[in-house]
This record gives sequence, C-alpha cells and structure tokens, in this order.
Amino acid sequence: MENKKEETKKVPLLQVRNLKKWFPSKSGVFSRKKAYIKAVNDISFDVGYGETIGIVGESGCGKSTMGRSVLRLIEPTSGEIIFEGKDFMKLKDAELRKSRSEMQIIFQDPYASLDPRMTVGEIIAEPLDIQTNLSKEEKREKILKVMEVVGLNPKYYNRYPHEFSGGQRQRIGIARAIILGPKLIVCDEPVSALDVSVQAQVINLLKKLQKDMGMAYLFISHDLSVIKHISDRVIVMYLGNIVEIADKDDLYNNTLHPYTKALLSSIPIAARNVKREKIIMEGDLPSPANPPSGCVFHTRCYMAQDICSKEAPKLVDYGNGHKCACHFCKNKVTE
Amino acid sequence: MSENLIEVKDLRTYFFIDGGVVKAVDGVSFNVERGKTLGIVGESGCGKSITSLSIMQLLESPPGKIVGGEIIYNGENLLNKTKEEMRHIRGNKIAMIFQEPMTSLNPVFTVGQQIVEALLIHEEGITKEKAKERAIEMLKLVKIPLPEKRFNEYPHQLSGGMRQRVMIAMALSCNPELLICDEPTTALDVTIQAQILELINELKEKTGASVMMITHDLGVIAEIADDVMVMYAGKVVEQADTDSIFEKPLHPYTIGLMNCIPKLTEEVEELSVIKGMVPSYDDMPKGCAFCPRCDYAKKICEEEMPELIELEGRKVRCHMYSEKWKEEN
Repeated sequence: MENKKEETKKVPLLQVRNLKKWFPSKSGVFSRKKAYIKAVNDISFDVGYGETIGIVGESGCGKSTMGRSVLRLIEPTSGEIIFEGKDFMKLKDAELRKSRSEMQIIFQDPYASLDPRMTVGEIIAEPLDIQTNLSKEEKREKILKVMEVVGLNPKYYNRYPHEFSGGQRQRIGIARAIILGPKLIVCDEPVSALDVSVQAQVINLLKKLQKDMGMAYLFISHDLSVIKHISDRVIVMYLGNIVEIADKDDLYNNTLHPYTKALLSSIPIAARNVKREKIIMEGDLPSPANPPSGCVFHTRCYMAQDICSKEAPKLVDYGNGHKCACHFCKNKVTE
Repeated sequence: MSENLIEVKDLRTYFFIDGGVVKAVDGVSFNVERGKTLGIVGESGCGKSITSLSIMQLLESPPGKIVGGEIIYNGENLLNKTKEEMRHIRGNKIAMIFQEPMTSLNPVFTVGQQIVEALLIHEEGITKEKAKERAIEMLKLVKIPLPEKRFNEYPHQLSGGMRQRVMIAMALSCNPELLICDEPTTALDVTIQAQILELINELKEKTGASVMMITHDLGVIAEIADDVMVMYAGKVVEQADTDSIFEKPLHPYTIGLMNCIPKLTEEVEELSVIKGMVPSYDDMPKGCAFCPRCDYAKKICEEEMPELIELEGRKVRCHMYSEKWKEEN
C-alpha cells in the first residue's frame, strides 16, 4: 500500500489534461450554426500506477464517453493524454494499436461484448493474435493459464459464450483484458448487469487481480457503494464536468459538493434503523445538449443562489487533493 | 387485526418448454394486508416476476400455465374468473407498473391519450372531457410539472423518471386497491429512484392502496416494505416483517444476500460472497435448492427439500432450524 502511494507521487501512469469530447448535434439542413453536445467538457486528472480511480455519476454525465476517450476508442475533440510520459494523442494507427496492449477495457454487458460465434479460447486469444507472434501452443498455454486465474474451468476452452452465465461471461471479458498484462484497465460498469451474489464474486476477482498484477483501474459505475468498496480515489461527474474529486475517505466522510451529498443520500440503504438526512433532488438531469448556464448543477441544487446561474465555479483544491467545483464549499471548509 | 386484501395459496406456475417443465413458481403462499407494502426480493430467475404476472393472469400461455393454487381476492378466487371478468379486475382493482417505462408505453400515442384510454375502458359512463380532466389531475398527483403541456406529449419526449411517473399515473387512474410494482426503479438513476420511491410511499398513504414491490435491491425493500418475502428458485425461503428480517435474517440465502452487497457504512477488504450460482431448471438439486451454495449445508440438505416452517412468528425454509440438522455432524 505504501509503495503504491510513493510511486503515485513520482510520475503518474496516466495524465489527462483538459480532455473534451463534443459531439456535433443535429442542426437544420440550412442552418449554419453548429450545436454541440458537450459529453466531456474539460476534464483533468491523474491515475497512478496500480491505483483505482472510481468514476461515478448518473446516466448521461459523460463517464463512459470519458473512459472511451481516454483509450481513444472514440477520438477526443481536444485535450492531452499522457501515458507513461508519452503523448498518447500523437500516436498514429500502428503505434496506437501497439500501445493498446498496455490499456484494456471491460464492458458492462457481457452478453453484447463477446462474439457469439467464437469459442472462449478464440475470444481470449484475440489480443494475443493482434499483439504477439506466439505459436499456437504458446497461446493455448497462456490462455489456459489466464482462464484459471479468472476462475474459469479450462475445460470450457472450446465452448461458446451462450453456454455461460452472466458472471462467467464477465470473467471471459476480464480474461481477455488481462492476458497481455496491461497497466491500465477501464472497467465500464462491469458489474451492473449482474445479480448481487455474482457481483460480489466479480468485484473480489478484480481486486485480487489488481493485487497480483498491479494494474490501475479506471472504474466507472453509477453505484456509489461499489465505487466506495473498490476505489482509492473517486471522481464525481455531472453533465460532462468533474464536480468533485478526492481520496475515497475524504469524499465519503467529508463530502463537499451538494451533488455528491444528494447522490449519497439517495442510495437506499439495506438496513432499517439508520437515521440519516435525506436530500431528494427536484427534477431530472438537464439535457447535455442544452446545459444550464453557470454552474451546471444549479437547476437541481438545494443551495443554489444568484451567482450559480451566472458563473461557473472552478474546480478548487481544498487540500489533500480534495477538489470541488462549487461556489459555496469554500465557506464550508473554513467553518 | 388487519385484514388481507389478497391471499395467494400454494401458487404453482410452470412453463412447459422443449418437453421439460420449468417450475418457475412452485408452491408460493403469501398475503398482502390492506394498506401495507409487501416486498418480494430475489435474484433473476427466482420467480418473483412470474408470481406477479400470475396474479394479473398476464402470463404468456403457452408455454406458461398456472397449474395449481388459489389467488383469493376479496373472498373470490381469481383463477376461476373468466377472461372478461379478469379484464375488469385488471386496472380497476389491481394495477401493475413495469421496470422499463419506455417499452410499456405506446410510442405513437401521447401520454394523455393513453391515460384517457385506460379511463374510458375501465370507468363506465365517463365522458371524454371528464376523462381528460381526470388524466390531468392524475399527472398532477404524480407531480409532473406542467401537466397540461405534458398531456399532449409523446413518451419519447419524457425522461425515464417522468415516464415512470406517467405509468404510475395510469396505474392509479382507476383507484386500484392493489398496485404491483415490478422493479419500478431498476432502470432509473439513484436520485430519480429516490423520487419515485417517495412518490409511491406518498400515494399509498393518500389512496390507501396496498403495494406489492418486486425488486432485487434490499435497499429498496428497507426503504418501502412492511413485510418481506425472499424467493429462491421458485420457492419462498423466508417471510417476515421488514424490521426483523434486517435485524436478524434467518435463511442462509438471506444472510448471504445482505452480506454480499458493498455498504456505505462499513469498510471491508473483501466482500463476502455466495459461492456458485443459481442452479438451472434442468439441474435442480434433489434436496434444498440452495444447498450447493450454502455454507451450512449438511447431508440432510442434499437429500430433502426443507418445509417452510414457522419460527419466532416468522417463516423460514431451512433445515438449520430442525432437530435433525442439529443432531447431524
């Protein structure tokens, strides 16, 4: 644990600076004005070696787009992505493909992310086919080993995805992601489609793999309890913006942003005698095509005042890397 | 002593597929008291949704068929009703909302038209004008802003939370006595889920209706239910009032479920898990269905399906509380 922290301090594994992903939105045939959906709007953060960054927010907050932009699975509009000191944005096709052996992704839907016509062996072999020149036997050996690591019985080597349950399919996806020994894995809602009893198995597996192999996770989820369990640091997103970023303990124990507070208080807790303050937010998430002026959260914020609709708050560091974008959290800290 | 609105006795719903039989609901009994909320919890495939569809008689048949049991509603067995009579009961007396509000609303009609349609079918002699008035009133009741405007909008123009509100408005438009909610908040964000749960609680108070809440989320149960029924592989494994089930779950499956969810209030290095997975229908264990995943299983569990026994005023289906289990080493 100590080692991990020290390494983080030196050079981060991944530095994301001012990342933007704007999608052009439909405008009339004759209209010259171009509108954009600012799915990810000016986001910066670091990921240390072996660190887990949790990214949490409601649907449409841009968390998945952000995860994919970081890997350049969708091309970012602008911004910098520095991976191990190298400018990842400048890489061209072949180099980009090569660098993918260092960064992988696990998707939410294990049913949709596996080719139904390929056997488990073939699915897990794909990264090896693309990135290495191993012989057939060497590949097979590697695959059988990784299957064992993720808890898949090696005798299933020749089976097809439909023969597996959701949890096992997710294990296949994980095996495919770790076989090249990546340094970073983007986990995009990897347990959301699973039943709770299986969810716990997969979370434990991901934690164990990280301990053994030392990769960093960018763990995207809408579930604050899961995020709390797995993350070292947490980023809270709202409408394409980071509203709060902090070490896990700071975020959960000393919550600064009103949105994070409301999110935390909205989670139904599976216990009866817990008394807690409930904040029920009014209204829906505004459309990202037409975000509110000023602070994007002000339309649903229970603390909003005049300034909030006029001026967008900056992401300010309140110590220990705990950053928050709110006009009023400064008062809170000094109190 | 409160009275039961609905009594389900030994309900059996089987599916006949490929020459095999899937016992989706296998001898389930429970009551819903007037004005109370019963939570039914379990993982996918445990039979919780089929239980509710059986009550509504909305099963796809074939392959599904209610092969046994009684559903007593106001002293009458719903299973003896004709199709015509059931159509009258659905909507008027028992209404249902589903998980995915987009697929349960018709995309080519405005939400207003759809609520009005429900009213015209179920309320005898209501005029169109009166129905429209009522529909707008219902939209107001479920706290949809600008109800007059929303009345003329199509489902795709509404957000997921708003659509679910429309569904609730439609379900409540004929003042049902029982509202069945099948995972109503699963597709919604947590902040919207909190709004919808609050709304359901509020409306229940206001209308005095009973609620059957089907969910996989124990958090939702804690938030909304008076009584809980836990299902596993088509059978009830535990039944109790909500306070006692959270205070002291009895069945190993319930205990496992509660332990395997990560909690905001405590820190653990590793989550406890329920090993393995739900058995498939063609591979049901001979004894207790949960036995292969259970940490407390003994020989008796492999051989005999335990009965649902009464214990401390609650019900649990587990050998652990039998003398035989205690005697065995």
